Amino acid sequence: MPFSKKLEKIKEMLPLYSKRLVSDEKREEIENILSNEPALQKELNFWNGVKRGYDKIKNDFPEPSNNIYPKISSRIRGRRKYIWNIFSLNPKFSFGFIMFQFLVIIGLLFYILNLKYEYKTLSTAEIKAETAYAINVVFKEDVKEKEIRELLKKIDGRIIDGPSKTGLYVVGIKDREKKDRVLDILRKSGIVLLAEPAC
Amino acid sequence: MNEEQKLIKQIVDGDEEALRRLYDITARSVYQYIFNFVNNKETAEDLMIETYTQVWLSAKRFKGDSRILTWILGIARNLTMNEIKKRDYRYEELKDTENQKAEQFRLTAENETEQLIYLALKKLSLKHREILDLIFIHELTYEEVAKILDIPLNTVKTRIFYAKEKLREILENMGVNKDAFF
Repeated sequence: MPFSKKLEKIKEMLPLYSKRLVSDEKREEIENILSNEPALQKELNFWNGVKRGYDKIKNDFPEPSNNIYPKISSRIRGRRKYIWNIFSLNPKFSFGFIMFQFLVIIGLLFYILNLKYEYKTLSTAEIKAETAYAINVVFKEDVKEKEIRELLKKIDGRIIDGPSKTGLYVVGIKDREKKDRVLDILRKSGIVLLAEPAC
Repeated sequence: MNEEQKLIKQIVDGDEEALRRLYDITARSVYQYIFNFVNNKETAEDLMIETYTQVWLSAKRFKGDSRILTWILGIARNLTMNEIKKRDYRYEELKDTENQKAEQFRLTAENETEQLIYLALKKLSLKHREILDLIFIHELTYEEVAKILDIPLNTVKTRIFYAKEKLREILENMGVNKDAFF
């Protein structure tokens, strides 16, 4: 490095040198050159003067008051109350919470799907397919589930089989004696296309 | 892991006592830095609270590639600059009141260099004063200054050069004998 360039570099370093913010190695290098360079000595005098001016400024600074930290502490505790800060400060908690939500959603989904495909009749539960009097029934296409339930309740029966691919249900009733009356009710219900005793 | 990194890790883990220790180590310097801009105790204290709340909340973003004080001063600087913009502060370029002029004259006569430099520094613009403050009050290296001000290293050096020229000019205008110390 040419000497003039080196002098320029040292000149740049003088503010740090005056504050003793340079390494020992650098300080030695600066001092070696300084002793033979009056211009650099003048520059250093200037920065030493600035340093002394700053020493005076530092003495004039007010000290931070003792009530600052309690306010910081109370602010932090206040912020802790906010749920979003818990998330931002604790990634593990956030992840756990997301997983929990995910599982709840999946659980709900399964529950809803099960509800859709589980056929719960309002008919009596004691009727067993083996002992029941069976009637083949085909409901109208646009009939509502609620109407079927109401009809089954009326005849005190339950669906014991079906629907088949052709839409045939087998409805069982407990009391064989009432078969004619039940058939009559089914046929006149307005929601049944076919009601015949099953063989 | 050095002490500073340990403190930050504890803060990230929610240890408020670690924040207290960090505050004890750095508060004086940070307060002086802020006060130097706003020149008002209440505003400086409010900004201190904001600064350390930010330190608490964003400790995990501290990468450890600088001193912790440099990082905190960077936060303090951003908040202070926002405050200055918001309130339309004018950074203190002291007007020469009659008293100051009389004081200046007396000092010049008595050749009290430190006091004159002290007055001259207060007359420097924000840009020039800030860079000298960071070196002479907060004892930061040029690299650290560059980081806080978010400017290239060479700009730091250039700015110091112009701050020095301006300071000389102010001192000359104050009637300081050129041979006194430069």
